[in-house]
Amino acid sequence: MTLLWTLPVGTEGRGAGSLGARDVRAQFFTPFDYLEQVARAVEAGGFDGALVPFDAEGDDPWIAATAVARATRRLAVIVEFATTFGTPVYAAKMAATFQRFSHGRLSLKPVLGDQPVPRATVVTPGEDPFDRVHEYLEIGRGLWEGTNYSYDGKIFEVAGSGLIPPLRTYPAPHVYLSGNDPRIQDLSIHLGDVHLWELTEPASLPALVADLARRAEAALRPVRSGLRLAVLARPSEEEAWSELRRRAAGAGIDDPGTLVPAAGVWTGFERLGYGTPGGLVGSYRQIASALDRFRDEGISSFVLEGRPHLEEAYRFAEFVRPSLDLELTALPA
Amino acid sequence: MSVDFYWRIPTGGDKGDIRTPFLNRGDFAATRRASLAPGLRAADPDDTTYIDHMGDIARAAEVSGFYGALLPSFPVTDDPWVISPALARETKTLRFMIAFQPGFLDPLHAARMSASFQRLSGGRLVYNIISGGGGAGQLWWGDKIAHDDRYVRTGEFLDVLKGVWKRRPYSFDGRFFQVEGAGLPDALAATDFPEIYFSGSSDAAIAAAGRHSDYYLSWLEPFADLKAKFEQVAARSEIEGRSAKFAVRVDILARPTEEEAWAVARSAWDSIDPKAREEWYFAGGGGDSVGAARQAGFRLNSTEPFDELVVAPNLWGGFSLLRPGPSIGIVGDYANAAERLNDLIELGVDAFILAGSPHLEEAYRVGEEVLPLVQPRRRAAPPLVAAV
Repeated sequence: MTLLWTLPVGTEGRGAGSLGARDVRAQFFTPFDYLEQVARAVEAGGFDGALVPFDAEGDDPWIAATAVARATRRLAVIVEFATTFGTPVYAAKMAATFQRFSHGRLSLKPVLGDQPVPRATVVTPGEDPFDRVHEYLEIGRGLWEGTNYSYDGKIFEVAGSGLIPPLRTYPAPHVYLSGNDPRIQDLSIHLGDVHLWELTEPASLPALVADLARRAEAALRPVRSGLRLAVLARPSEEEAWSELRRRAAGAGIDDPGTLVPAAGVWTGFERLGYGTPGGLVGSYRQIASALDRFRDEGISSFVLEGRPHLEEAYRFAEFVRPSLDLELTALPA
Repeated sequence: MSVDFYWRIPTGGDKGDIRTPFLNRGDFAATRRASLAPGLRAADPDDTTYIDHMGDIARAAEVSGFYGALLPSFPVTDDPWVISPALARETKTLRFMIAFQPGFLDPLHAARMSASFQRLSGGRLVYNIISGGGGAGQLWWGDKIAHDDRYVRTGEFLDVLKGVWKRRPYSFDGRFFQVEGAGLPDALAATDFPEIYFSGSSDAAIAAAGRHSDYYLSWLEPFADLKAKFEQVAARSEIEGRSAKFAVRVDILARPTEEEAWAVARSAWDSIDPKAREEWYFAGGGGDSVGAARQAGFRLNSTEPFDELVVAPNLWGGFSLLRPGPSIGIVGDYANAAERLNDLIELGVDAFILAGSPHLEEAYRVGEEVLPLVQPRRRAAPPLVAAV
């Protein structure tokens, strides 16, 4: 069971939001100081890794991820980035340097474009975002395999390219892809390493996971299933739901009970500003049991999100994690 | 008037001595007995990486009084956008001049990366906008755009970059970029827009530079040629209603005496395989870079000895054989090296990007021995801009 925690990239910050308020002690504390503190908390808490999310209204994920890697020793770092940020060759080059200086701790999570922010890119009208991600991953893999790599696709073309051997000191980063769309699942099966499901329809999850596992085995590719979810854990179930109701009310959700597809699951987290809609709500033991059940159904990686990020990381590490039926050796992130 | 001094960070490896014929610092060349590279001891991974050495060079430059550091970007180097945030967290005042080609990054995302870097570093980002050398090197990056069009793309890129940062909401409909009502979020947009150093020797480059650059950057050339180039850029800038400043990238090989300095240069020259030297003389390059062609033009088409490359007092044109980069650099004692820098300042140079191998020790040497002899006051590294 691999446990990863989501990091703040600015729009949530502390209290009012570190992007909105100007800290009067600005010389002494920056949002990046806070980001690094959360990263160290996640590492100290025994998590295997951290997700640096892409937030169109926040700090850039590559810059944030670099700061996180430099502030930690062993934490795996997943960079979620828009495939419209730059060319695949440039992304591979950045990834290579990141691997070199982090001792191979990078994973990548490409997302389709960066809606709703209007783009200023060389994306041609009518371009299929799936094609872009697909070519990104193909070219990335090719560049990592050696020199004199050429590729002529619908969107990108390279000739005589490839990372020089010193830049390939570490293996290519693992690829995380997320989404229930069958085309994304196809990409996962052929070019991904972890497919991240979201907790929107818990009942359908086991079948989806099993289907992916079957197709991955048929394609002879070691693709794993992961789950991205929010978590609101408290000593008792009552406290957890009380806290949820309080936050939901603050976001204008008067009847949070309508967003409960299964016991202990709430699907309105995105409306509270989280990066994923579904999550677990309950006591420490309930949440640990739920995670164990997901693990039994074939989920091996959990990308968790709690807010505020620092305190909830500590809380999870100290109160939920000990109740998990964890093997002592974790799978690679 | 103040002059800014930058020191180069060797993002593609370094030599412990300019006379060493291979890159022995870092893991960019095959490891030999003289190599200092991560993970060499007893085949066990140690905790060091090449970025730690680059961090040391950055701190050496900062301690020695340099205003900033240049981070070059080529297929054979580590990437500046990944190195710089890490090094920024480990330095206090050093500026980071990141070299990048506009074609490789989306301008809106580049703006976000840049503004985040400003928040992370307290406003220490500087741009070195390059537009590529064309040919096989360009195709390596996946870029097929021809020379003059690359400069059009650069111009559009900078328009959009500035627009989404400082003129929100911004709309633009160009050949290479289209955007409608775009802009950075408020807190990112509030950060300072970096100074732009702009490189390129062709007419297309100079036209683009006139519109956008704060500093027009050139490799060192014989002074008369440099002056002519600066005049061209100044005229172009005037048309655009802007005033240009000028910067020069130059290697320095300075020692306590002229004899020592020239002995090192000659010894380095002699250590190079004669066949490699001959090939270099006739090398075409294969790219479309006008700057590279100009540098090649300053060499003599013969295998004459070392002295023929002394193109002017204390200016030697053999550096590109010792390491990739500009041919002409300064060789001399500390006083004469400083004098050549003073000459350039008199010519109109407002900033320098200096380099020497090994970059760690030479940062100290140049900072301690040469820079204090340079006449105008250097811009003091001001206290950190408060991060937002």
